[in-house]
Amino acid sequence: MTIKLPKSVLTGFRRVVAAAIFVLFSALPHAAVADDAEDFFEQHIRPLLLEKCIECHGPTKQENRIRLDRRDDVLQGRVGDTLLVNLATPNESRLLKVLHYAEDDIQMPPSGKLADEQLAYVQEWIMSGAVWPESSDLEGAAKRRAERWRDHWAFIPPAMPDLSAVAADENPLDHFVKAQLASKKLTLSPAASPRVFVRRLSSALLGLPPELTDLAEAEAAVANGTLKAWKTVYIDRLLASPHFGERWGRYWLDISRYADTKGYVFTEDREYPDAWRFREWVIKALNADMPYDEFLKRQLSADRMPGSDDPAQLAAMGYLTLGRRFLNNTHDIIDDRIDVVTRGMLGLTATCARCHDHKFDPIPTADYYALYGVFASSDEPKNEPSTLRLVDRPSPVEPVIFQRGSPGNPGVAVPRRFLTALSAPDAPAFSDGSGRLELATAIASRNNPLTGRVAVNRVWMHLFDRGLVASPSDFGVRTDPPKNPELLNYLTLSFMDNQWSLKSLIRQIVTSETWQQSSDRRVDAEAVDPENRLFARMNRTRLDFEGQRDAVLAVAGRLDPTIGGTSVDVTTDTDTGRRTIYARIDRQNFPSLFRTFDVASPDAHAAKRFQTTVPQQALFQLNSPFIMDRATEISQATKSAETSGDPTARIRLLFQAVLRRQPTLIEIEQSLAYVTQLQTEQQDSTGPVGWRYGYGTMDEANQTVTAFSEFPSMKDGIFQGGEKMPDEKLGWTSLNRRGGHPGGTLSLCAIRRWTADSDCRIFVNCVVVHPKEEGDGVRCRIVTPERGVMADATAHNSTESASVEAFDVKAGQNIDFVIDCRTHEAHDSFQSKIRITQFVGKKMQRTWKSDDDFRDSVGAGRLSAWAQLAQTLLLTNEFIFVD
Amino acid sequence: MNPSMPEPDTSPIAIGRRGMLTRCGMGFGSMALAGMLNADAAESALGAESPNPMLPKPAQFPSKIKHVIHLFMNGGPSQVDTFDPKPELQRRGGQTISDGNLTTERPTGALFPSPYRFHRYGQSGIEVSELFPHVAQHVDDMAIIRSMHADVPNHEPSLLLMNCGEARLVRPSLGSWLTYGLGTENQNLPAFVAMCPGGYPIQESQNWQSGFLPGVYQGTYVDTKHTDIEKLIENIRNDRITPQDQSLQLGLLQTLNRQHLAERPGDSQLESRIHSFELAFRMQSQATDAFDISHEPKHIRELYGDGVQARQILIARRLIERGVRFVQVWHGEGQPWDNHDDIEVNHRRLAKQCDQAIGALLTDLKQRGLLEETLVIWGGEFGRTPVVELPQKGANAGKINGRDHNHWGFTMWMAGGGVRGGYVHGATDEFGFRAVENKVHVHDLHATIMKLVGYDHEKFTYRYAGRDFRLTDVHGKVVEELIA
Repeated sequence: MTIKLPKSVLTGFRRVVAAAIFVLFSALPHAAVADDAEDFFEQHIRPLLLEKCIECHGPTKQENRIRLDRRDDVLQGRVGDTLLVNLATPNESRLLKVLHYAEDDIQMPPSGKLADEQLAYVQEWIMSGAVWPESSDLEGAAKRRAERWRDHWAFIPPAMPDLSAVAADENPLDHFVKAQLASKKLTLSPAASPRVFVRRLSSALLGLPPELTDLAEAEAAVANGTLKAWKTVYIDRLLASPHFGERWGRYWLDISRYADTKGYVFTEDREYPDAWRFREWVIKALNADMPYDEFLKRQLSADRMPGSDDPAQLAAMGYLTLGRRFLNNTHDIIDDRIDVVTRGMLGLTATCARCHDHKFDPIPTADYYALYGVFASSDEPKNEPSTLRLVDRPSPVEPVIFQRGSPGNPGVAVPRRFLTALSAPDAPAFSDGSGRLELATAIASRNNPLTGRVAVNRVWMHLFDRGLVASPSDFGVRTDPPKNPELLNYLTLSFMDNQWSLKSLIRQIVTSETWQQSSDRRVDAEAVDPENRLFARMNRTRLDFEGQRDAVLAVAGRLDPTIGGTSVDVTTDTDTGRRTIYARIDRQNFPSLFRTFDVASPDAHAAKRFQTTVPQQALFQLNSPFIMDRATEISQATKSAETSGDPTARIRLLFQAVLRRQPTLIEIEQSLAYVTQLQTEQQDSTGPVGWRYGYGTMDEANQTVTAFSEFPSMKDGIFQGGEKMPDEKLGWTSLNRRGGHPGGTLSLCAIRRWTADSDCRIFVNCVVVHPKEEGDGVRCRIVTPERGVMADATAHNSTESASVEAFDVKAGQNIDFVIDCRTHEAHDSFQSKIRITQFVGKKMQRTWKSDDDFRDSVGAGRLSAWAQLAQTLLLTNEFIFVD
Repeated sequence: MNPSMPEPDTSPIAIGRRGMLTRCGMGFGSMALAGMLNADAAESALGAESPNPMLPKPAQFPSKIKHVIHLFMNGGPSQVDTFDPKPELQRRGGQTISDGNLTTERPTGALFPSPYRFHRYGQSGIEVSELFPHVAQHVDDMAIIRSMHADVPNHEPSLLLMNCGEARLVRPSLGSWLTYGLGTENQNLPAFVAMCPGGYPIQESQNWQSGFLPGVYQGTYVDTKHTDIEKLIENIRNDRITPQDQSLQLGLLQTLNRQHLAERPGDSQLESRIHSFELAFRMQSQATDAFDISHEPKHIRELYGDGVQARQILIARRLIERGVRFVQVWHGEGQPWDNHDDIEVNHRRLAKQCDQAIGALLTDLKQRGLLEETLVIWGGEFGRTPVVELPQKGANAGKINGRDHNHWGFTMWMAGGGVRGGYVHGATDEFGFRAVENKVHVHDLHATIMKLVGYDHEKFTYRYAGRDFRLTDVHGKVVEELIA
């Protein structure tokens, strides 16, 4: 093994080596000539030992009984029979060998091989006699090093910064931001326009677009010169809105890895039937502005707090219990709970300590198992009305360390207690049951330097799109302090002083000049602060998935304002108006739609969401029934007597509905040209394609359908004559996803009409089920204008089928599936299932299915030009981004 | 609705904005986003503001391999019946192993000889069983690892270990790591596609999860049971707006977006969203085409044969040909190769379903010059015992003609760019139970795959929850002998 030495090292060494030889051969204590050698040790060897070795081979730990912080331990140390430092044959030194990273030997340090230059230093140091000045013990330095985390900013309790320079009417928040900007000769940007402010606030606080009335009020306030007062009122009004909890609750659901299912389980039921109760608890707690310390405490130990007999309050513990089940492996379930508590509430990564002491943070394995003991002493009671809660075991578990994380390798016992780094040196172990309540109290404490800071940083992150601390769930020693530590300290202390009120904190931020400034580009600031970490302007933010979907529902007038309740599968129920926070989250089959839109994975605590821009997002927006149905609804809402002859007026209404503003003259011109071109084209083409739902008359003489009309109304998934059934005109005539009901005469047949989109060959099959003995059943006929009745089937308390094999249709040609009542209307509810398989050439192109394809909205055929314009506005960057 | 979308340069948008589309061809972003393609690309691709995290990026060091096809024989194929002949097993069938059987999932009994014959193939003369006559034609391009081993004899942890390098905790899959590192060469298709006909394998979507990596790197699952493109890729078609209408719509959308952008200069998020709509529009025609094997000439379809395996393996080739980075092809829903009983009949049936298509894939890739740049991996999550499984109450229906799970030793093979062909690595004991010679743990396989693709597995890391993670965690050693 030869090591190429850097030139500087070599020249520096000649004298040292000479000195060393002198030392060795004269066997005299080193004298003045050794000064260089001492310098060499101090300069090159001592820092290396401290940096790379002492953590495991120093005063606190002596792995493999080797200690490298004291002179004698090094110079006389042995591994078996081998000397650590062999002055006679330096290359036989065990120390050198392990540093060389030989493949078949121990490799030290484990973090990675030393640089060649560093290796050269060690080799030359040993060759030159391993000079180690007696005065230079590393022990003290190593001890200081092991305690260095105590200096880490996040572990030091926040101190109130000097507020004496804050002007009386100045928000201290602005004072700290401006002071930093001033140090770079920058200033805040001008205030955003009132319009921008209104949208920004509504989307930040409620996750919804602003009401038109709010925008109008803001404009009026500008005219009256009362804008400032109006803003205060508006802020308070939104903070008091019950929709506030729906927006901010979703953030907490990311933190708590919320899901409605357990993840992979083999045979047992995979549902968490009560998961929604936890969500509801979160929403209500945030709406009620429950103090954040209590908010945390209840999630850990609601069973030991006031209201412990109330299932609604116990649901708070879903925070702990709604994780993955890991095939019911207890150790993994507890690990998941330790993770969601430490990262979610404290901003510390403790789960590394399951196998070894945390590499960087002051979290030894003993701390991990101290917490492990707390959760191992908490059981989920079986057969209870509330399935989310934990209770303390009658006799708590006395935890032991599992060495290298292996339960089969138990080590020493540890008491159940809080993290040592966050406890007083003489803090007692937990003694109250499992210790969960004591753990909750220690976390939700003013004396805890992390809890408040972590919360404030997250609120800041949601309001500014970027945290003051970049890693919101890791405040460990490797995390840089916030760019503006005084700001974070100030906000944290005032947050705790205000009874941990999240709403007060949010109010303080959104009333600031900093938050209300414009997001326009600042070329001057970019040069100094390209990432805008000093906040010389507001960040433009993209709506997250919840924000986008809820906004679409809101502008379509479809938003269901109900707060709380069970989950709904928004990926299959595309017509639901429920807000996205109520979307069912299936952990094991996490919908690709959610992945596509960066919704937090429910696998584990999510510190923050990724933000990607992928074409699958655009595909959803361009092609999904959800977006097109909403666009259709928006366009229909703008259709009126006034706009029928005035397309410009309708364009204005559309812009106002979707973008909440008037179009510019250019935009009117562009939109008009677009609509006109589309309408011309649609007139030239074949009209609607796919399924339509209506009623009409069966002309028995000519065997054709006459007077087909689409149903005018859709209610609860049923196409029908009007709001109520039976309808005055159409009676019980109706169609739904899986069937329907014919009317009482042959002029009120229930008709599904399918229109071919291209010239093709099709196979048609229609199954009709009439499930009752009463009445005389129903008749189904497959009819085309050209060929009349091609097949028919009559079902009465039976299942029947009508089919047409391979026949050619032209684009635009209709096929009607006509159901009539025969002679009696009574007991005529039927089910039907139609399959149309299309072939182009010999290739099966696709299949239409009456049930899968069913769209429960009126006018679900080809999108009208107006609906397409509405959709276009829904897709704009303006709709998706908030200035 | 209409399967043939208008050609890009005749569509109304393109006519209006030829310049834009020129930039957005296959090399999308090559001008607008040139900054992304430098050495910092991997880093910046993770930033919140990154325009498109999927842009192609170089590996750590040069590699010929651009694509990976992982043929996953889920359930665990038996090594002694496929690629690991054991004369001693044949000779001593019915005897018990003197020092006892290794512990597996269920009780096992005497040595159970393979019902299949082995033959020598190729110049290398490597022996392969009669189950894989088509694959066997390619032994000279294959490196067969007969000394694989894993940790436990259970499906769930072994699947996760094979896919994600960790048996229990949520970690990114191999395909996610590679797409995170390399991006993809076709922005009109998903970078990482996981195909499995009929539903999910055991452990479901966790097999292609992105774990703590951004969600965009997860595998896109495609149920190849379907032949219908709309089922294969959600929202790929639109019944209610014609392509002609949609191109007009996109024209207006981008006009409005550009006016919006003009007042907000320098915001790359706005630009990247504008671009994503262009991509989506093109993907509608590209994806339809990529998954439609009827575009293949007859002789190619005949080469692959009939059935769903043939179809999905041929789709795999069409995908990598179009630049998709990682394609995982699962044999089927659940755990088809898990033959605890009737192994003779079942293994024969399963092999027959895929042998011709896998052989065809290797032939086809080679003919097209794609084998050089594609790594093909074959194997299950573990192998099976050379001893017979004993019947248990509630299982096996009293049959004594199957094999139990075996993580102690099993076979996998690789072929393609950079792989040492005609080579057998390692060996199991005389019966094929435990890997004994040149053992290759799953972590070692991962380390080797990483090396083949251009990564030092120890240096390919992602910072999460306070530490740097890697696919091989703290394990893994590159098996240099497998590399040509």
